[in-house]
Parts: sequence; structure tokens; C-alpha cells
Amino acid sequence: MSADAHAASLRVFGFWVYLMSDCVLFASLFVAYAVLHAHYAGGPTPPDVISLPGVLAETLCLLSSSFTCGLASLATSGSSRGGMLGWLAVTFALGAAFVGLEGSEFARLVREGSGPGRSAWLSSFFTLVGTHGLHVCAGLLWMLVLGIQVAFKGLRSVSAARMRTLSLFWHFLDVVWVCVFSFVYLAGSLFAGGPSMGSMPNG
Amino acid sequence: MLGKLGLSAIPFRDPIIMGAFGFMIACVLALGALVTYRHRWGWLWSEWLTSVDHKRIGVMYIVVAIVMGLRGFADVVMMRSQLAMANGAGQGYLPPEHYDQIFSAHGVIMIFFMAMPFLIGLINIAVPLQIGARDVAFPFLNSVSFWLFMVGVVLVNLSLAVGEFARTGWAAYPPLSELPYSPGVGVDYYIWSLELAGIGTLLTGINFLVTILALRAPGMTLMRMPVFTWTALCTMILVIAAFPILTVVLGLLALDRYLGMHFFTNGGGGNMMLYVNLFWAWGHPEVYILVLPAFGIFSEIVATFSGKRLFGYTSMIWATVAITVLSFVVWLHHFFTMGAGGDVNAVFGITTMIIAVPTGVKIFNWLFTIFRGRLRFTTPMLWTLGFIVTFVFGGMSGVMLANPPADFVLHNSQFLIAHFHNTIIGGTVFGAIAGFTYWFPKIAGFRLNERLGKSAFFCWFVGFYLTFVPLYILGFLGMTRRVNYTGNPAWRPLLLLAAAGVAVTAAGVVLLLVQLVVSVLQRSAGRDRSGDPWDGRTLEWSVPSPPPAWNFSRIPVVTGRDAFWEMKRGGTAPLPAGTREPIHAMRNTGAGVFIGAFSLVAGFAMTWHIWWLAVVGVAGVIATLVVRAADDATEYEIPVEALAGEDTGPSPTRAGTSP
Repeated sequence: MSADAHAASLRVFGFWVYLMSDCVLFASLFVAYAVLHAHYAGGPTPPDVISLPGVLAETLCLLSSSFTCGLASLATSGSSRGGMLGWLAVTFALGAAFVGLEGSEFARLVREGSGPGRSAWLSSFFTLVGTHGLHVCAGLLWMLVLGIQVAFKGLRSVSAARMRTLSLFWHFLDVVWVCVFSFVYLAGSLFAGGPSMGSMPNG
Repeated sequence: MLGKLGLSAIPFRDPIIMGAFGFMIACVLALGALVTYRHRWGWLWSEWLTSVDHKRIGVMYIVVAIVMGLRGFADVVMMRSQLAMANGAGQGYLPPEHYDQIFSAHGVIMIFFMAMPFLIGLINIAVPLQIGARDVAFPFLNSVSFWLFMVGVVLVNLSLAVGEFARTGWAAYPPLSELPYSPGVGVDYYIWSLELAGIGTLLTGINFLVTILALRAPGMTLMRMPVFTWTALCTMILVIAAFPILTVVLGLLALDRYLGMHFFTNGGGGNMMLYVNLFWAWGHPEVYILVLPAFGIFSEIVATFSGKRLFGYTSMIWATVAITVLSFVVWLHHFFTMGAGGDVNAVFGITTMIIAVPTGVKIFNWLFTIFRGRLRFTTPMLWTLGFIVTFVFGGMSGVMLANPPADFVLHNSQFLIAHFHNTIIGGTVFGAIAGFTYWFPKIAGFRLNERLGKSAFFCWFVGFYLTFVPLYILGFLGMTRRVNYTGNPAWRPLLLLAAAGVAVTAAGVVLLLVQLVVSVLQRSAGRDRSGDPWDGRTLEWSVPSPPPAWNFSRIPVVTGRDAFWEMKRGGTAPLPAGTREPIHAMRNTGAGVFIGAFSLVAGFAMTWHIWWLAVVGVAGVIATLVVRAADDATEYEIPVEALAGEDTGPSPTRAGTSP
């Protein structure tokens, strides 16, 4: 194995390990959400605030961006600089749309008085969903920097290695989103109506 | 513009704090003057601060750990002298709000900024050498880890004079740590110093896991790895699995405090038991992050100075792995009294006791290694023997506490304090000092003074028992922890005895410093020209002391456990195989320093609610990363000619590594 290839494989392995640690991070946030999921403190419950059509649009954006990210990876393997940049741009646009939709959802909730300070449930909701959103923003920034690098310096082995870790990151965020979508949005809109805890001062 | 920051943040009227801070400033200025006088700034910057060499990063970790250890020890002297005075009619000299900051800072400093960096420093120095690697997998990331750790160090020290530190104890339980009860910046200093240092630790974990799994020399299978490398591997697994939980739990506390959320608050549906559970889900693995590397150090030392291969290598490894797994299923024993109920307590009590089994296996392995060995009572070996005795006591008092009914009596008492100091000092601190003495000649090229080292050991050993046996007794008598005054005059003799113990330990601390100075001054006496001063068994002793930047001119081929011992026994020359090739190495880079500096700005700004400055800090970190990613010349090539004559014997003096 050449030195470059060896370094690239180390990066990918290291990045996998990082993703595992990020898994633990999200797992902790899911735990917090699970513990606090019925702590409405007399405030709104999930069916009051969740708008499934909006979430469906977000989900479609993110899932299709994962597909286009895969196409960008394939273009990178095929040494097609134009293909890579093009698909990366589409991925970026879809990811940005996701962040925009999520931001507008958050803004609507805050406007309606259902901000993160309203109840423990809303705190955990905003934090879990928002942490995922922050990760997506980091991914967008990464895409931007990588795209500019490739546009100006060409598609080199180091960029290809970065594309590989970027796509790992992006697919990972997709998997996390599937969990958020299922446990927070779907389950929240289907199974809400349990006893409201935390409405008492010491709840 | 400056958030909550103003001149009133500096406690000008408190002579103790201003004196301590003045001393700190004086030390920094004196150091700066010395460097300026000797025209060493350029050297310091290009050879050390920007270094990506794992050995130098390891040395920097240890230097900072020693300095922070001294600060943490100053806290000890203040606390124990206060308690010796403040009994009955005496009130001592530390008011509660100051005393509370001292014990909180003591815990945070000793765990995060003394014990962990000391061990990470030793891992940095020894592990790549032990596995026959030229550096870690990601040298730049290693530098970033170090500088993020430094951010935490600087923030904690700043809190001494600018504002205050947390008064919540080192675990910062809510609701006490929530805004209504801790409105000052103390808890914010706590949060940001640990968040940022914790990210550094996580990056170290990833780096060394990949290093150990992917960069071992040919022939070094997992079951041929030195035990210290094994314990480092398990420690890194614990770091990777546990530190994200700390990141989350401190982040949630910050959200409560900064954005008015309700994770752990009294009202709004918050649940403070969520904090306690998450904190200890990180906190118990952390205990083993602190002690597993020490176990590894003792295993290396005991085999080397008994002149035998380690007894029961395989069982030692499996015991380490078992502890690694079990450490995640015992966290609830930190709060048996907090209402989980009898059944849950029973489960966690049993899992806790089960950990004593693999630990016991280790103790017997060390004892059987010593049995019929040809012992050499060097300083590292004395620390090891002291550890075995002391740690058994600490472990047994732990098994007592693992019993929930007993815990209800002993919980939050001085007995608990005695127990965990018994394991952390007897295990981690003894291990760190033993490892420091053991690997010192590898880095410095000369040995530490044995006589002073032995005197230091005996002071520590006696001082430890003198301090903590009274605390065990005081715990039984009912003295709780975290009090700055006791009313019962009958406790006075025991409190005085504990203070006397600290005085003896302080003599040990001074002797260690004297040992370091004397050894440097008399370095020609302890000079090690062989690279193998202890008749060692593992690969780090096969290279010169100090090793060249690239560690191994030719990568060794490993044929068994105790690879270097096998080479010496088999009569083959050290480093028998492999052809020389030019080496690709990473250039030193200031990017790590800049990332640390911008993170410091961000952490300080967040602590004081200076939002624009926090944005500047974060933007600076991102900009540094982007610039670094655009740098195409991060590596350079070391030609074959430069490697000639580097295989055996001392290396030519290189700037920086000679004392």
C-alpha cells in the first residue's frame, strides 16, 4: 500500500471511530428525550406542535441528499471532477433546504410560545433535533470548503479521501435522522396523550 | 460589550486569593523573563509548542500535570489545615464560600488536569514506542488534543482571580448548579473548561485507538502487545464510549443556565436524577480511565524488576477487558441513597462487587510475578509494591461501600473520601510517579536520583496512611464530607493527625521536585548510553535514549511477547529486520496552538456572556481548520542518509530533548 493510501485508510478508520463516539452523544440525547418525553409541565404536547407534512418535506430532502451524496462519491471514484462538484452542489442545496425547513419549524414554535424554555419535553425536543441540525450545518460547511478546494486545486487523492469521510458523515446523519423521525415525530404524533408529568412544581 | 465582566470580578479584598494569583503571575513572568533572557522563544515555539511529535506532546502533558498537581496539592494543604483549626471554638481561616470553591477546584484539577494528563502524557511517550510505530496515527490531532486540554487548564486557573470557581463540588449536581442557586460564573467556568478539555480527551481516545489497532509493527499480534499498551487500548475505548456522555450532560446543564431550558431544574418538568445518572454513566468509566493505565505501568515495572515475564499475561488482558466492560454497569453505586429502590440497588451492588474479581486476578498476577523473581528494589519497584498494598486496602473499602445497606451509613462521609483517595492515590498517583521514574531516562537520556526518589516514596507512603486512616475512622464516627467546620472536639486529634499526614506527604512532594532538580544538575552521573537502563523487556528500550524524532530507523519485526527481551535472549541484534526507507513525517504546525487559543477565547467569552467574542472564538477555530485543510505541505521526507547510525546507542544530541 502506498503512503497516501495508507494515510487515507487510517483517516477512514479514525473517522468511523469518531462516528461511534457521536453515536454515544446522540444516544445520550435520546436518553434525555426518553426520560423527559412526557414532562409537558402543563404546556403543549407533541400533537400540538408537530406538523408531519413539514417533517415529511425535511425527511425527503435529507434522504434524497444522501442519495446525491452517494452519486458525488461515485463521481469521485470515477475521477469526474465536474460530476463530483455538481452532485455535491445538489447535496448542499438539499441539506440547506433541510436546515431551512427545520429553522422555520423552530421559529414557528418559539413564536407560538412553545420554545425550549416552556417545558422539559420541549427542552429535550429542541436539543435533540437541534444537535442533529447543527451536525448538518457542520456538514454543509465541510461540503463548501471541500467544493472550493476541488474547484480550485482539482480532484486530488487528499480530496478524494475527504469526500469519503464526508459521505460517511452525511449518511450517518441520515441514520440519526431516521431515528429522530421515528421516535420523536412519528411516535410523538401517534402515541401522545400519556399522563402529563412535571406540571407540579417538583414534577 | 463585556457581558458580566467588570473590575468587580476580581476579588481585590481577599488576601489569600490575591496572594495566590500574584504568585501565579510572578511564576509566569519569571518563566517568560528566563525564556527571553536566554533567547529561547523561537526554540520554544518551533521545537515544543508547535510540535506534533508524540514524545514532546507527552512531555508537555506531564509538565502541565505536575504544575496543576502542585496547585491541587496547595488546595489540600488549605483544606486540611482549615479542618485542623476549625473545630470546637476555632473557626479557621477559610469562610464557607471560599472553602467550597477549594474542594470543588481540588477535585476538578486533580482528576482532569493532574491525573488524566499525567497518564495521557505517559501513554503518548510510551505507547508508540512499545508497538514499534514512528508516531501516532494523527499527529496533528494529537497537538489539537493537547491544546484543548490547555484551554481547560487556563480557564480553571483564570477562575482563581477573575470571578470565582464552582462551589458545587466536582460533580456539580443540579439543582445546586442551576442558575437560581449558583448565579455566579463559577459553574460556567466549570462547564466550559471541562467541555473543551473533554473534547481534547475524546480526540486523544480516537487517535490512540487507531494508533494501537493500525500501526503495530509486523508480528505484534494483539496478544503480543505489552500490557501497558493493552491497558491504554482499553482506556481509549472507555474514553470514546464515555466522554460523549460528559459532553452531553454538561451541555444540557449549560442550556439550562444559558437558555432557560428545563432539563434538571426544579420546575418546568426538569429531572435532576437525569443529570446524576448521566454524570456517573461517564463518571464511573472515568474511574477506570484513571486506573487502567496505572495497572499497565505496574505490570511493566513488576516484570522488568522481577526479571521474569509477567505471570498470567492472558488472564491479565482478559481481566482488563472485563473491567472495561463492567465499568459501564456499576454507575448507580454512586447514588444508592437517592431513591432507586432495593432491587435496583442490589443489582448494582452485585455488579460492583464483581469488579473486585478481575482486579483480584491482577493483584495475584503481580504477586506471582514477584514470587521467586530476582527483585531489584529500584524506585519504580518501590512505588509498585506500595501500590499493591495500598490498593488492596482501597479496593476492600470499596467492596464495603458496594453493599447498599453499608453505603447508607457511609455515604457522603469521610469514609468515602478515604476510600476513593485510597484507590486514586494508591493506584493512579503512585502509578503516574512510578511510570514517570521508569520512562524518564528514555526521554531525558539520564536516570532520576534513586536515593531522593526512595525518600520521596517513603514520605508519600507514610503520609498517605497518616492522612487517610484517620479519615476512615472519622467517617465511621459520622463526620460528613464537604464541611469547613466540625463541632465535635473528640474528632480534633484525628483531624490533627490527618493534617500531620499532609505535612509528611508535602515532604514527599518537595523531595520529588528536589529529585528532579538534582537529577538534572547531576545528569552525567545517571547518563544512560545504552537506551536500556533497566534491562527492559519491551520495544521502547530497543531505541536510543532519547529516541530520534522518527523513533525507529527500521521498523522492528516482532516474534513474541516481550519483544525486546526475546531479541536480547535470542542474541539477535536489536531491530533485526526491515530495510531502511525514507520516512514521511509531519511538519510541526502552529494550527493546534491557534485552535486552542481561539477555543480559550470562546470559552472565556461564554463564561462571561460576551456573545460577540464567543462568535469570534468559534469563527477563529473554524478558520484555522479551513486554512489547515488547504495546506498541502504538511509533510516532509527524512532521507535514508539521515537514519544511518541511529539503530543503537545514544542518538546525537538534538535541540530540545537534552535537558
